[in-house]
Amino acid sequence: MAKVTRDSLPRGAELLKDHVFDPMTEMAAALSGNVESEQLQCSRSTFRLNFSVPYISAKFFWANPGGWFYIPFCLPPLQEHWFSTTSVNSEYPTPVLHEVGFSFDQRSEPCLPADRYAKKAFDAALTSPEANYVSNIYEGNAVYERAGNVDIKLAIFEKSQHYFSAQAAGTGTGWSAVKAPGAENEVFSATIPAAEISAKSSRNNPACYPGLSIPCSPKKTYMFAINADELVDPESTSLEHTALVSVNISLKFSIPLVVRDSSSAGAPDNLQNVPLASYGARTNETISIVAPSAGDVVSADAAKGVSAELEKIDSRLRHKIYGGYQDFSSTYVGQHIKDDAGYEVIAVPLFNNTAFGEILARPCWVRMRDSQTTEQYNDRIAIPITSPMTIHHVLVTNNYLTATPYDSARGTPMYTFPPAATKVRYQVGVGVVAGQAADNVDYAQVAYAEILADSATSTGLVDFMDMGNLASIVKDQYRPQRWEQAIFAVPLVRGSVGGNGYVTQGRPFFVGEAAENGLDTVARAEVGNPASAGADIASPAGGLEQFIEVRMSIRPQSSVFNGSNVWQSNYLDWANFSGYGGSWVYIIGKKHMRT
Amino acid sequence: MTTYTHKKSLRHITDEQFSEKTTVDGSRIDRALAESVDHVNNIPAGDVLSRYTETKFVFGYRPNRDYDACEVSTGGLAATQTHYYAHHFPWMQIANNSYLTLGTTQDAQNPYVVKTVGLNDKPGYGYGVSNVGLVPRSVGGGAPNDWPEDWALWAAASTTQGTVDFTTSHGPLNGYQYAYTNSWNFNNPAIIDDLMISLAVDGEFSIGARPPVAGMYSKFEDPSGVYGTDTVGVVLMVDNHFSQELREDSEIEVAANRYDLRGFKYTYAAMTGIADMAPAILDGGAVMGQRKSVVMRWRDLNIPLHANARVRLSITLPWTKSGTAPGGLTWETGGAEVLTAPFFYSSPRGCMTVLEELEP
Repeated sequence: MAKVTRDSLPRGAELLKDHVFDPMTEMAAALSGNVESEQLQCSRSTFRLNFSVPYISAKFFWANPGGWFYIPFCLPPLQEHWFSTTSVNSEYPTPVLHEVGFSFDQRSEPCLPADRYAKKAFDAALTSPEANYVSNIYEGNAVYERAGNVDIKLAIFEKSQHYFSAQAAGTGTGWSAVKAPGAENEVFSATIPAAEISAKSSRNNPACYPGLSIPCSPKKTYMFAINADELVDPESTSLEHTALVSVNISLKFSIPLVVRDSSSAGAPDNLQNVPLASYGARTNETISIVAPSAGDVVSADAAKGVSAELEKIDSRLRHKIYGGYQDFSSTYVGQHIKDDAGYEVIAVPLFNNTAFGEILARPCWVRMRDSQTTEQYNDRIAIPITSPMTIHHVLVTNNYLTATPYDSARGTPMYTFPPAATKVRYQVGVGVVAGQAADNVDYAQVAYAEILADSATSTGLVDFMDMGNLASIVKDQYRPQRWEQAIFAVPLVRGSVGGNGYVTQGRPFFVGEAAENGLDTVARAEVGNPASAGADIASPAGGLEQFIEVRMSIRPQSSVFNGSNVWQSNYLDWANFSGYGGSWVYIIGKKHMRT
Repeated sequence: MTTYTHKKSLRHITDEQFSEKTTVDGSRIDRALAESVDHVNNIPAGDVLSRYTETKFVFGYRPNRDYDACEVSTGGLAATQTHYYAHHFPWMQIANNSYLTLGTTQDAQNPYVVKTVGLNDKPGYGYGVSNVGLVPRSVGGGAPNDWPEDWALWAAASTTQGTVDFTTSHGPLNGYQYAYTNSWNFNNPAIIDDLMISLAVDGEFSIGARPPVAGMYSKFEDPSGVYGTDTVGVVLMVDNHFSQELREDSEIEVAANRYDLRGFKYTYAAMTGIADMAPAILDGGAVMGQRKSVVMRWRDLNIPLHANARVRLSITLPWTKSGTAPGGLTWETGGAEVLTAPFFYSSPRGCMTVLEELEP
């Protein structure tokens, strides 16, 4: 329902009950569960992309002078707003970037921490991957004089998205080389000058840049980028290289509130895993205005009186209105707000602090793999469920950034490059798990993909980009990688009802805690069967989920080292299994208003 | 100057009130309806009870560790036979002093970066040590009892890296605690709702499980109770607005001092016959899940943050030493494992949930 409309009382005309009670009836109807976002003074929910990067070495900027350490992301439309053309429907909500936050650990001093390469020249011996397990006594020490030399440049770049506007991956060598597309636009830039991080007081760390108003297209890709070239100390007599440690980036957006997801008894599977007690549907409070009958006197205080009926509206607002879910995924007995959901992105880091910053086949794999028999390397993160959300999309980035540049001085020149086609699969899964301090532990799959990051036609590919970092190129050949980073879609499990998105996937998936004894939110709608797309099964987690768990596994398809740790020569020595900074999984969906 | 506006009624949405036997005219009714409709069409934030949405700050990582001998001779370089942890970042010492400085030294602005919870010995920051075992601090008496002196002597030997490393048994007998500190700036007021810290064990060979030491996945699970840490310190601080850079003046919002990790085990029961998710993380063929992991959770915190709050979250896993073998940062080849810092024995991860108000 739209805003309440009212005609002013005309002077000199007879006062009819319609003049008074029609607006009141409309107001009551609005407050009976129909308050839309435009009726709220604060009509936009906020969400943040929070990136946590444990460590960025000076070596990255030594290998990529003037280059960017960056994290790609996109903010796709929700499933009900999904449409596949390039244009953006102006009726659908568009996120606006309002604030950028950036911080790192300075040891609470006007200094920068010494890098693990401090006091050493970046020469072939030091920077070879083989040296990467040698630690350094100066590592982490406070370097005061370098803090006054390091400017930290931040930027957010924008590019059109391959999914909506097909692009070509990097290919070729020398004059015929074609690099994958880079940035098309810079939507934010800032520099934290050295003076602001080396000051004795009021250091700009954690920094915050509020007051922005940058609309972000749901159909474009963005890259948050960092450059800190001066982490490298060029002075050969000091070599006080420094590092960025515990970097946290927080991008705060706002977007209009939308109506929350729900299904119904007749079609419960339209929202996977939703509590059957409510199907997510709102139960509205009914506020009834009783107007006088024809011929009745319009009174003040009595029933059907102006004051008495207006009091119903007044009382409701005085006692406050509400929407969203209560504890344990229960709905309000009577709610007032229709648009009670907001856009949400949970950014989850994986492989983000590996020993070498990246995972190269021969130097790293034998030390890292989780099993000699089934060669794989896993990472995962559990996220506590604090209030319900519905998951609409899951995305994962594929990273081939490198701080290990081409080395022509070797007997055989060495270069870092993505694995050859079909050589590595990336398994990505999102699930919910019941079990902390409980008798039973069970997972329910929410999304899963096995990704081959091979070409522009790879299944699930959303976008890719190459910002032209120096180490990404095989210099003597001028040979670009297929891309530096890419984004892939991870489909939600699909039951009998299909959803919308970059790939064929299921309907939105409800995630929330549950309780029995009156709330009865344990019983859930069926979920898609991960073993048989299109089939429904009862949720293995049984509606008892406490955590969202995100897992990722790197699975070489040929033996890298055998069980005796002997190199098998099935890969380039420096085949890049996971690039500098690792991957990000984005869980995108709706969160809800709460107290 | 702020002016006082007299409200003639107790009404919330309009000042007009109508009662029997009092005057009434069309203008008053019109005004009452206009004010009410305007109010309902633009409901103030204060009239909305559920005016918050939550945001999750996910952080953490899985540490790297090699568990077996390796041969990595490539390109004509000599094979490396000594294996180390690559680095200890993002963990850094909680102390600042001349011994922990590279280049020109300065008087430390903050001798300790984590306030109180007994992680250090400076007055004002809280006394004591949050763990069993020897005190990792300067105790005087010269090397090797005094940690800074010992380190200085060793550093004077000009060995900057390699097989003799300060973090191994060749190094000092004591070391400072290390902290993993994340910070954020909240321009608008917000509320911290939930904090979770997990120390996860991720698989069969992943952490501290080199065969034949299988079974000792983490410090806090060492059945002998000898090695490493069994407690954690978590401090969430907000900078004092008038002395932002002095940790001593920071306001402490969450403090977990010497929390016994054994009280926060996720589950140690064998995960047999459970429904797992993909991709599987296996432990000798069985489901690993979060078995043997620790998950600490502080719910419904309801901690308000003022505008421009600068929040710092520090996690400290104190280390102990066993006999004469100190906790080191490395792994050595060719024999028994050199005990390492406790933060290499599990994956430190966490999530802070913050509530923020709807915005215009």
